[in-house]
Amino acid sequence: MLNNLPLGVYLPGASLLHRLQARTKIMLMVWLMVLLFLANRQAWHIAPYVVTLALLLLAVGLSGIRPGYVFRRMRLLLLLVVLGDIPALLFTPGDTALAMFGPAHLRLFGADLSIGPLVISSDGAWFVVGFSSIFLLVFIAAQLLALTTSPVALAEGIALLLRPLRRWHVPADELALMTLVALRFLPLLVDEADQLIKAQQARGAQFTKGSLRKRSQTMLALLVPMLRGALRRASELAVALESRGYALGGEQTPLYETRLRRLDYATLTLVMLPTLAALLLF
Amino acid sequence: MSIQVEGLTHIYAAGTPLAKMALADLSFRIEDGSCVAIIGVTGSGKSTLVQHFNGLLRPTSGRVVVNGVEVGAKGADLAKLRQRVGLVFQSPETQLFARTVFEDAAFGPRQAGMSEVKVAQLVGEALRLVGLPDKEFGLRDPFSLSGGQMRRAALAGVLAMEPAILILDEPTAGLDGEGRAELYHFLRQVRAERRTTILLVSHDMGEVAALAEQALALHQGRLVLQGSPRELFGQAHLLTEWGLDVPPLSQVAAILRKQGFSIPAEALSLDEMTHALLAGWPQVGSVNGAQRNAE
Repeated sequence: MLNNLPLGVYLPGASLLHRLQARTKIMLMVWLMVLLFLANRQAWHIAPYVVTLALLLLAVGLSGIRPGYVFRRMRLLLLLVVLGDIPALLFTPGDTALAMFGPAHLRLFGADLSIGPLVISSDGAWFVVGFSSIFLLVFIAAQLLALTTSPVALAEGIALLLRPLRRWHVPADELALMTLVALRFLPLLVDEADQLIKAQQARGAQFTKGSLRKRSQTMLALLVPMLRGALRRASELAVALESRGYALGGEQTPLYETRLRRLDYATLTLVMLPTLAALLLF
Repeated sequence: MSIQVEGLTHIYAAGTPLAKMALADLSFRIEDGSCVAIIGVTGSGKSTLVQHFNGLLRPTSGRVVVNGVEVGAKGADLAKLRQRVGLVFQSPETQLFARTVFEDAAFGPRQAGMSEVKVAQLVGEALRLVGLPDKEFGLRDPFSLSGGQMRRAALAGVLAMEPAILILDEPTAGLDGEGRAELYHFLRQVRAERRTTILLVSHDMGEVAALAEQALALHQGRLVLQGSPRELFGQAHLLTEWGLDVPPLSQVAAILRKQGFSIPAEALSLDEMTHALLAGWPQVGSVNGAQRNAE
């Protein structure tokens, strides 16, 4: 019943993208985002977009994920972008007109109506092309990040990137631990809920039938055991953490060192240099 | 009620990159009134299989027919089916939720819309069957019971619907020896009084030997062996290959057999083994004699 809950979209694998450190992928995504927004300030400056698109397509190819799968996940966003583009295209004011429609005159119920003229300005066109591209490109990048990085690695990556902020008393380690615990427990809780729904159904529970009173009683049969289970787990975990010497404010050391390797540095360079060049030189 | 399974295949998350074949082309029949064990290691598909019997899962392909009614068919009355086929999940005590043992066991019958008089009668009967008589335990808080008692209280919640088929998923996992023995006792009682068909999902071969007449062995979603526990334990090497332990007694028998003792494969109890050993005594001497001669 809950099997299709989109908790994470991670697809395990061993491709080049899977082997990159989460930090590298997060940094690159942020880099591309900033870069594209900078490029967007200058009209018809499309070189950075082209380079980014080429790099992302290469990344999809290297990720071991079927391109069709990545693009199928984008359909809804594509629809939204197109819907948003139409008014933006028609109603953005600008100096140079690219095309003009109308004005059209209609006679309706004895009244004269004139529509238009609708002008597609150069600025409007660039606005649409620029922002649509940014949306779609950043979305592909985010997709790749989420598809090739396990949620746990992702949380660890973010925590590592936030570490320098500890100097200003940002509790990066604690936040990371909380996120990690939550991420590890979510699938467990979902499994438990799934199991409970089935178990109570097997005992005759009908979650979608009956009066409101009866249904609320049925929900109780679900909520009480779930809450009990969650609290039990939490208290067990707290004991386990304390017995292993966990203390608030202490510095944590990871069991598995996740240092950036040659692959990470190479990838960072190979993405940052061409995009920066495209931004500055063309 | 009998269960007929034909070409049952189940694939989780079919059509996505995460698709996973859980059951592959199973066919078998479970007779009315029998006690059948479904054995296999974790992940072999046992739990997936039994969830088809009361319509919690639908076959990806193939048919499951319970008492002449096809389970996956459109318009099948699942609520009714679930009354007839009681499924007790793993660690059922985690499903307890009501304030008293009686209220908890009454959940199913009340959901079915039965009158309070009928509910009281069914629940009283179910609680008696699992050894938690209403008079003594009915008003107790289920969470104040011992582990074994909690499990039996949860079992009563299923028995209160008077199922004709009772499916138990790892019923004794996590119970101590005493809790196990009690549960076996009450299960035998249920069978004796109600002629309930019992399906037992287990990887504890001692349990299988104690309760079941027939066993189906699953390995990676396939039905690999079918027969009485005696026949099964006779093939210890196969069971080991599938990651299953044979009961300690059968292990001893296998070792003795290797040493040259002749013990029939179907010897399962201590008595049977003793008889076999005593009967084979002179034979053992001759085997040793033959070895000595060879030297």
